[in-house]
Amino acid sequence: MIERAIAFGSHGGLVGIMAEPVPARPGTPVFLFWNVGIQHRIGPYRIQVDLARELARRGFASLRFDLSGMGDSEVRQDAQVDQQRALGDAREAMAWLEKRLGARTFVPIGFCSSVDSAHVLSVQDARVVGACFLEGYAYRTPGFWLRYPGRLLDRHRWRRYVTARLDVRAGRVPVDPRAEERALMGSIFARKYPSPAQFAADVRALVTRGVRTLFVYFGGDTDFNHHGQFREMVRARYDRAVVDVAFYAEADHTLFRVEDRERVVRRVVQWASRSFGETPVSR
Amino acid sequence: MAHWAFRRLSAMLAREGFHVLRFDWTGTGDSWGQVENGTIDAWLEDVAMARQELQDNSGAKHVSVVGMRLGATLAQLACTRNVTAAQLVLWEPVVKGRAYLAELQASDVTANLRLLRDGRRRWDELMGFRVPSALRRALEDVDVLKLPAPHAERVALVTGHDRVDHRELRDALTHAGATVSHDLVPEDPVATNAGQREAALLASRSLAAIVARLTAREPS
Repeated sequence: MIERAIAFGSHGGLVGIMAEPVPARPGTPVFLFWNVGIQHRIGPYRIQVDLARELARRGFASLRFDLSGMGDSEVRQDAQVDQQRALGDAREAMAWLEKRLGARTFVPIGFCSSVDSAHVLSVQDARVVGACFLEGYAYRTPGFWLRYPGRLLDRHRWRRYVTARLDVRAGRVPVDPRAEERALMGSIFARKYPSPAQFAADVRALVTRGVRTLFVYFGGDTDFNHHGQFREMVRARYDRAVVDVAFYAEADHTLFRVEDRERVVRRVVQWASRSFGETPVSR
Repeated sequence: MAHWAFRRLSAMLAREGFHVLRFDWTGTGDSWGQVENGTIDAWLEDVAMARQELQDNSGAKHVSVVGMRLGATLAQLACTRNVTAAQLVLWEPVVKGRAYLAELQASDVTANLRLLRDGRRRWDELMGFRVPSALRRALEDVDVLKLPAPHAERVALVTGHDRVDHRELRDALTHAGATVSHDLVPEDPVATNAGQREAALLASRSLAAIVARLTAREPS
């Protein structure tokens, strides 16, 4: 595989890293990654680097890039709101890939906050033939609430609660870590989600268009707590070949542990190979 | 966070007319490999290679080296071996590897607790990455107080707090014969949550102090 840094975009200020398989596989979709939160293009614990390289080993090209004003990319002068800017940047990335690589189809991979723009891009742009959403939109369903009290039986939660209380009381921490956690999670999850009905309609539209999707959810303090919740959310049962869902109850929201990241990388690459064909290439 | 800080720093230095090369250590960021395959020797080689690359591309006669935390430590180590610098800037350097690993381990325990992971410690992981025992031992052995003077005309120590180990480092460097400055640059009042920490980082005065040192002006 080959990796190279590129600068692109109408203002020439977008920066990214291309990963290309050797030999190249014309006609296969190109995978796209962009910033998760305020992190630069590598993603939480560098997972987007691992994903891009593993995809290249399976014959898929990808571009990891920084949205304008983030990472190494320059700020755009046009005053657009975050999501419009992200969509504009993603479309400029696609235009560059069309021109330089002859790419015609694309697969955005969103993770947490980057799911917002990946979702809209997938719904709006017919060039998107697949999409992967890591910790994407989740809605609390009856099944979720049924399992919710199970938290009280989780000894890790109790350990966290007691430790935090003792630390604050003993003055070992300047601020209640639980309050900090809530503030942090509040800022992460303060995004505007589509309504549950809109989300279900969007998934249905993607299915109708033949877009292959993979929705991956993790346990921890999120709004998703069992595999079947996705079916409740979309109120439909889709063929796994078209709408694939994975749930890792033991993984946390940022995939802190190496084995969790490795598991997710393997799952995404398997899905990509199954959905878009596979040609293992030289490392 | 380090990426953003260095991006800002490089832009500030470029505005002052410097050629700047930022790089990720082998196994980190965009660079090839995994952290677990990293060795101190490989990272020191990275410094030498980056220096050569910058000189080849810019034609600069003098190259200064700026490192943050462990990066500063590696920069200092490199400048005692095969790298020569006009200025060596040590930004919040790690002085003793053993203490640094202890800090990371404490943070790792807290992170595991916060993220509701089970109580079984992963002895081969630290803060989300595998750190094999050979690398741990090598890091534990790092003690920059014992190093000879670096091959640098001047050494600038830039720190945010008045810490004993940083004063010891300043004294050790002076004792070894280096020309050392120490800028104590208190950042904005102690941040109490993640959002404030980001704001503090973006408003970093340390960057201005580093630029002032590299342009040989006294920090304001």
